[in-house]
Amino acid sequence: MAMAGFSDVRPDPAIIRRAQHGDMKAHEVLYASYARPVYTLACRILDRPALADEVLQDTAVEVIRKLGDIREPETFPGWVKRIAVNKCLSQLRSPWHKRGVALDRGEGGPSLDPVQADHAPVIDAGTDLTAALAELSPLTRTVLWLYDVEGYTHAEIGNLMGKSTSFSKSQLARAHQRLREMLGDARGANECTQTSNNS
Amino acid sequence: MHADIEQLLSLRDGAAVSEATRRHVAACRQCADELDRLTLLSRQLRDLPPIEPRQTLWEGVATRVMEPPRAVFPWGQAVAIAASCVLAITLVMRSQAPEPGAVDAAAGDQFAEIVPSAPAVAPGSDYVAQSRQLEATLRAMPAAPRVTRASTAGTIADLEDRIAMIDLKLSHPGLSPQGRQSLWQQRVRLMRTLVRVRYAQVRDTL
Ligand SMILES: [Zn+2]
Repeated sequence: MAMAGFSDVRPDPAIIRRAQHGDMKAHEVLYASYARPVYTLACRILDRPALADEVLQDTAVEVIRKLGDIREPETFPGWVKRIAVNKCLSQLRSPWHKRGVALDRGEGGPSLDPVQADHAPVIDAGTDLTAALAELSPLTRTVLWLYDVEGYTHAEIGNLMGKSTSFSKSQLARAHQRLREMLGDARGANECTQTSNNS
Repeated sequence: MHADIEQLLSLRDGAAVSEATRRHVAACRQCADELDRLTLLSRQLRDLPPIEPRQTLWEGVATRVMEPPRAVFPWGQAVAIAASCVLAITLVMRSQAPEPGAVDAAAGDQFAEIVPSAPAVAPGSDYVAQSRQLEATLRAMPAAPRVTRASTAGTIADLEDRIAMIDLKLSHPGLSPQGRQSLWQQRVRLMRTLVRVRYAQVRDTL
């Protein structure tokens, strides 16, 4: 089973210390440890490889600039994840996204306007599940991903988005409702989600 | 009555549900199946394969942290085909004043990152809105080509510098409303020029 999660990000504390002293080689090693989970998170939430590139680079720049804040090396994965999630959310708030999608409306309508419809192809678009995810509104997809995959609580998601806990709950319900409509009974489709394993 | 999806999710995740709901789901085949399905779906999401970023992204990061912050517009990140750009630019060029609905609070949030203490909307003008729309157009343009004429690259860098300078001035707390207005006006003018130069640059590479 391929893991994409932040739980696998366990850099050597000595590397963190070296990076804190400005060693760029050490920073590169750190980057290698979190690049994949950050990129996966951003791709899944934003569904645009170009924006995910931006999120990963912005996250890396912030990690380099603020690594000095880290006192306990074991907090590093959660810290990086929080930075990455915030970068994703700020992408969702950007005019680029806004022109096609009303963030607050959150309705599962078309997530693209004609101008941005021709974006780069979605990653591993072959599977039913990823295709269904792409149909969700970015906001709904974000709540689903943060809750079901990244393990955030509704209260935390509400906080991150400047919304209430019940907002997060209803978005999650909406996400599952929409996936149910699109996928039908997903049982038995398990094998289909395991293609193009990159690890 | 069957449990709704929110109740089933609460059951799945060990959150509080009424005793009646709990008893119903335990006894109802249909609801129990739905609950299983939700559990499975969550696992399928977690099992989606990781996605590998391009190798070259690190180089961009290393370059950015070595250089002093300057660029207002991160080129090389937005990907869109040229046709959609032409459309976007045509729209911007045609509509000198965007419809009021084009500006909203969330877009303001993002903009506030670029212009720290600029007001969300400048009173009595739509320069802020225009500026924002131009920003969106620029973001929607394809990445700058690898090979660019030195003169074009110089022009772009110069325009970005001048815009950055205006942003710096806009962040000054003691700015008068008139001063602010005039800065926004200049910003829009520079942004329009930048869009034209960028457009020419993209067109030349097609
Ligand atoms: Zn039932």
